[in-house]
Amino acid sequence: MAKVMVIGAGPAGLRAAESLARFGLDVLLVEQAPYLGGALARHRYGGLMPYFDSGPQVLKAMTAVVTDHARVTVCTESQVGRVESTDGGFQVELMGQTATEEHVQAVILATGFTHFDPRRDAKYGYGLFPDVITGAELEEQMAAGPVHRVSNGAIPESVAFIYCVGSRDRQVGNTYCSRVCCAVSTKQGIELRQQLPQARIVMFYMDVRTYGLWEDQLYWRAQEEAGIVYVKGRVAEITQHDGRPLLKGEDTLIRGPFEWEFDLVVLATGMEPAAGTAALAAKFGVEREPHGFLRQAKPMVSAAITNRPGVFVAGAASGPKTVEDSVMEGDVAAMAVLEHLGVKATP
Amino acid sequence: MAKGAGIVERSLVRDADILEHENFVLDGIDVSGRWNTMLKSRVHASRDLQAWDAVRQNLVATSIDRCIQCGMCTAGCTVAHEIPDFNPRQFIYWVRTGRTEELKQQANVVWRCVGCYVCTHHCPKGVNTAEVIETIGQWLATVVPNRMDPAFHANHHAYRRQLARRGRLSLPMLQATFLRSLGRQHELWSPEMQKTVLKMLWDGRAFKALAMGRPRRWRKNRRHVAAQA
Repeated sequence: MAKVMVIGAGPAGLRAAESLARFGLDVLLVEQAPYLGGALARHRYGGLMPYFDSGPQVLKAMTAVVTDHARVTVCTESQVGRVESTDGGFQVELMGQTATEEHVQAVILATGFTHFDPRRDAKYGYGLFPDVITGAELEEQMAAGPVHRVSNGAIPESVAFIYCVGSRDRQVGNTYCSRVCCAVSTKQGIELRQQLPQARIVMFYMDVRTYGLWEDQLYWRAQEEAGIVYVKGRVAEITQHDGRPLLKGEDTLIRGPFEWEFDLVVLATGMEPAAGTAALAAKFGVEREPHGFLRQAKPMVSAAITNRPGVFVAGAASGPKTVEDSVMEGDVAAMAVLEHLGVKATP
Repeated sequence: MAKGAGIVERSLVRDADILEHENFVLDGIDVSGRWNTMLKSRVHASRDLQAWDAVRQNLVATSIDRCIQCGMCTAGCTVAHEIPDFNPRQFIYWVRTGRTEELKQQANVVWRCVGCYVCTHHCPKGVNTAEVIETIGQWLATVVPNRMDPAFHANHHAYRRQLARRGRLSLPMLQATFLRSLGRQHELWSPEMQKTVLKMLWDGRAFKALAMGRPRRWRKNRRHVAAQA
């Protein structure tokens, strides 16, 4: 039976591996981290927007089938080495924990994303002021215990979220919208309200892109049920005053500068292609689009098709994406593989 | 000396932004005299969320939380077309972001709402804007009552008194009470007013207004209303 290599064991890769295995194909699931689940596991997401599903439960369900299925070989802490094109497939060298050479008929690249590192945008003072954290760090705080100020461990009385950190910004080189940060921050705000009933929670935004059904599920709910205040204006600078972050910005709705102090500041960092994306794309001869993500060659036909026959893409490797969308693309990629291999249903 | 006379390029600075102190001590150093002039900062530095807490807890104004600042209220507003400073969207935003200074300064503008409810009917989020603005006005009336224009004050009280006493409103009577309390009763006999009175006598409205009666069970319920007023 045909063998397929899935690179990256996040929501997209896990779903693709599961679907292919259920169709009776042999799957080699390659993951460089020691765990499965990608960003979901990396940052220990507690609740998932928009339905507030439990992150750990979703993760458990995603990984359970893959780890138990006889047709799936999971290679964690492994990386792709040399790649050679052969008749009807690829000869791929694996390095690390699983050091071997495999011949596969098709490859799915599901390498995901990495969060923008806010140290690259010095105006937010991330890394300098302890009470300026990222959204991913907030998730880790929420998973580990009560949300607190990193500087002194106190429970925050005021929390500011800053949208579009590392997104929609020529200065940092990312001209695209990361699609999920508005909604994720809003979700975090709603969750935070349960922990901090009295806190003043403010969102600083340019636009609130809780598109589609998230408008009332998240955005309206955050305002109406959680009493979160949205302030239109991008924060220009964070300094520190009396040991608290001081946010300087322009309130564009009323044309006035503000300098407000908060106990805790959460940066809604955007998505960038995962670190190894460029190298992997080069090895497989897959083109990247101008932002550095893997290029979907025929998005109107299938989200999974790349310029290279036999190599498919799924999830955030081709652009910022939600967990739901990544799972969906995992299936799309599996389907594209079946089509590529000419698999037919037998009576 | 004229205000801010010592400022170079004085014409670029607005009068209201100049602060002059008789005696001024800055960080323990007496800087009275030549250096006593300061400019007011445009920066909003401390959020005063009292209005926010008060308004959103008021039964008729809880819908303020629904506002997404789209501006439909102001776009349709009857008053905003006449008074550029009257901006319901902005009033809500000031309350939310703790800009109560601006709110207090513009109190006399906030009170100019005529209660037409166009804003409420326009609002795509179901904010009862008219009553939110009314609630903001009520809050301002408790915080800066002195800012209220005497005419607003008189009008306001004429309404409340009549409602409390009679349970119903009669416009001719309101007008009379209002003008009388301002010492402007002569305006009741202006040629325009005389024409109106004649018309109302002719079509019978004048008699209706005088004999408008009382609400049902008024005697029993009156004390509740009076307590509110």
